[in-house]
Amino acid sequence: MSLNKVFIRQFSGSGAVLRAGYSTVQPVHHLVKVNKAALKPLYQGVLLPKDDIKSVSFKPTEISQDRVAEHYQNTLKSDLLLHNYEHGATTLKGNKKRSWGEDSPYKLYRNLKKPKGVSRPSKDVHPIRYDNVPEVESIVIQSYNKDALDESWLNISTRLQLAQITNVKPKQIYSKANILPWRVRQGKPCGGKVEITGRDMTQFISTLTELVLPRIRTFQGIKNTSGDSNGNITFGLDPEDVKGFPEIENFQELFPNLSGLQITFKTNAGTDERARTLLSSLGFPFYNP
Amino acid sequence: MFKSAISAKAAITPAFKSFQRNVAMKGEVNLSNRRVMRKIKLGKARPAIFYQFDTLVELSDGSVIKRRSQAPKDEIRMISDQRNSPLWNPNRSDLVTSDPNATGKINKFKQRFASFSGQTEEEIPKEDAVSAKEPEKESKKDDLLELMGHNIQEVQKGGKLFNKKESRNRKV
Amino acid sequence: MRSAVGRAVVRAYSTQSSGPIVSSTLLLSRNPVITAELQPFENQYYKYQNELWRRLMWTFPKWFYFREGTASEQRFRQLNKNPVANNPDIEFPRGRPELRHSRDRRFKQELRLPKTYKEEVETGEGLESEASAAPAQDDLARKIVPNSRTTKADENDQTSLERRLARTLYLVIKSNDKWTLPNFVEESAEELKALHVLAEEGLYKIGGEQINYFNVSNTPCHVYNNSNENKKEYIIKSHILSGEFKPQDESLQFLWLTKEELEKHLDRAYYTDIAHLLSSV
Repeated sequence: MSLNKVFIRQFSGSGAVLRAGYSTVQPVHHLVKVNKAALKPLYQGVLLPKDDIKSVSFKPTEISQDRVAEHYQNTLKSDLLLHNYEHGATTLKGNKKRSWGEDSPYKLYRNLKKPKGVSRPSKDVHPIRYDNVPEVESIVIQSYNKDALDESWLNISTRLQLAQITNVKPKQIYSKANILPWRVRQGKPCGGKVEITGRDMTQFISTLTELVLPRIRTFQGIKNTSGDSNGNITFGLDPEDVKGFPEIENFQELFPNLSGLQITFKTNAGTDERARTLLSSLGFPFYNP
Repeated sequence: MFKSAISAKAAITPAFKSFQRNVAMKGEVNLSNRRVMRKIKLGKARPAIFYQFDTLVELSDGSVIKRRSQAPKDEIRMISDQRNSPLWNPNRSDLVTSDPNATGKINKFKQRFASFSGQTEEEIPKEDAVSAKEPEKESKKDDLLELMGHNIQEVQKGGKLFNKKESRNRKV
Repeated sequence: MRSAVGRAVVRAYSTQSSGPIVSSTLLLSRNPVITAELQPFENQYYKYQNELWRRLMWTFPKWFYFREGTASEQRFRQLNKNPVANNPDIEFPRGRPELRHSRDRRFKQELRLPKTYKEEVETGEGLESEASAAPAQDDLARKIVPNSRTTKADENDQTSLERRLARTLYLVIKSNDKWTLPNFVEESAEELKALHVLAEEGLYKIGGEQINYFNVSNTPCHVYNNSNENKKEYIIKSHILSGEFKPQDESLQFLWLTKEELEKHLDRAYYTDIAHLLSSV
C-alpha cells in the first residue's frame, strides 16, 4: 500500500504535499486510485453508492413531508439572510498559525508557530450571503453512563434509550482516559452516541421544542455561554428530563435506568451568536446564566 | 379515568433532581459471555431501520402533528406542551406563571422588595402552602444547598458552634 | 399626509431641493400555519419512498413492548394474526413463507395497534351528527383527528388571518384607489426616525396596537423607486405573530393576500419590482 512513499530525507516530518498515493514527480502518474474491490466479482455490490436503490445498504431518506425543514426553507432562510446582513461586511480573518520566516530552509519547513496569544487557530468569519445561510447540519446526542463502567449491561440500555429517542442506531462509546479513583479505564465501554441528520434530526428538533423542553419545570433555556465559538451549541438533559420524550414517557417500566443526554447542534453558522439566532428561530429559548 | 391516571403520574414524578443514582436491577442482569454475535459478511449488512409507527400527537391547543415513533402508540394527547408553556408564550396572560417550587432567599427577597423595582404584587409568584409551612431554619440555609433540591438535609459536621450574634439578640 | 408644497419646503430645508422623499414600506406577513400543499407528483414520490422504507424496516420487537401473558399482548395478538406457517406438506404456488419472529420476511410488516379511544367512536361512522352534538370535545378518550386544512375564512373573507393556512399572507391596504403595501412617510423632518421605527409606528397608527409583530431586521430588504410620487420606499420585512390588524380608520380597506393574489391586486410594475421578496409558499 505504501509503496509510493518517498523515502528521501526531508526537511520536515509533516509532508502534507508528499502524501502517499501518488508521485509528485512530473508527469504525475496514478491520479486515480485503483479500488481493488472492483476487481472481485463477489463484492461488486459494495461498489454501488449507498443512495442507489440497487445497493444493499440503500436507506430511503425522503420518506415524508418534513414540517421543520419546510419552515426553515420557506420562512427562516430568507429571514436569517436579512437578519445577519451587515453593510460592507468583509471576511474577518481568524487567528492563524504563523510562519517562522523564510530565510532558511529549516524555518521554511518547520512546523508552523502557534497563533499569537492563543493556543489554537480560529476560523475565518465570512459574511452571510445567499449561499452560506446558517443551518443545522446535524445533531449529535451523546449519553455517557458512568454506571456502565460497573454494570456493563447498562451500555445496552443506554443505546436502546438513544435509539428510542432518535430512531437511529447509536454507536458505542469508550472511555478515553485512565482515572483510577473513578474506576475509569481506557477502552471501557461507557454509553452511546448518535449523530442524526435529515428527517430524524428535524423530528428530534420539533420533539424537543414542542413536547420535551416545555415540560421541564426548571428549564429556562439554553445558556448563552454555551457553544464552542465555531457555531456548535451544546446543552444537556438530566435523566429526569429524558422521561419527557413520548417514547419513554408512555413505557416507563421498560426503561428503569435512564441516563442523561448531551445534545450538540452542529451548525455552519461560524460564530456562536449566529448559531444562537438560528436555534432560537427554530424554537429553542436562550437565557443569560 | 384517563384524566386521573395522568394526574397520578404527574404526582409521582419528583420535582427535585437526585444526584445520587441508584441502578435498578443491579446485580440481576447477567449477560452470557458465550453468546457470539453472528458475523455479517461484507456487502450483506442491511441498514438499521427500526419498525416505526405513525403517531398522531394532539397538542394542548388542538393542533395535531404526526411523528414517527418506535413505541406502539398510535396517538398521544398532550396536556402541557409548547403551546401553553409560559416560556414559549411570554405575551399570554392566561397562563399560570407562578412556580410552585419558589422557595429560598432570592424568591423571598423578590416577594418582599419587588414593589420597589416597579413590579406589581400580582406578578410575584405566591408561595404555596407546602413551602410556607417549612420552618424558618430551613430557609436560612445556603443557596447552594437549595440548588441541590428542596428536601436535602444538611450534614452537621462537628459540634455546635457558638453563635455570637444570636446570643446577643437573645439578651436583648 | 402633508401637502406637496410643504414637503418641498421641508426637503429644501433639509437637503437638496428636488431629492426623493425617504419613506418606509412595511412588508407584514403571516407565516404558514400548517404544512405546505403538495403537488400530486410530490405526493406520489413521498408515498413511493415511504413504501420502500416500510419494506426495509426491521421486524417489530413485539417481545419487548408486549410481554407474554399480559392483557395488552392478548389484545395485540387479536388484532394481528400470525401469518400462514410454512407447512412442508403444503404446496405454495406463490412462494414459500419465510417466517421469522412470526413475520413473513417476504413482505413488509403491517401492524394494527389497540386503540386508546373508545371503539364506538371508530366504528360508528354513521353517527357523525350525534358525535358532534355530544360534548365530545372535552373527552380525553376521543379519537385524535387532524383539523381541517381549510377554514370558514377560505370561502370569501380575504381580511381574515385564518385563510389559506398553508400559505404566506401579506398585508395590503388601499390608498388612492390602489392596492399597495402600507407605506409611511415621516410627519415632521425635525427629528429623523429610523426606518423600522417609522414602519412600526405607522402600523400601530393604522392597524391598532393589538398586534404582536416581529421585525426581522432594522435593515430594509429592498428599495422601490416610486418615480410617480418622487419617493424612495424602503421595505421593512416583518411577521405578525399574534393579534389582529384592526383598521383605526373606518374607510381603510385592507386584505391579507398570497403571492398570486397580490399579482392581481398590485400594479404590474410595482409587483414585478417586489415579487422576489414574496414567498411562493
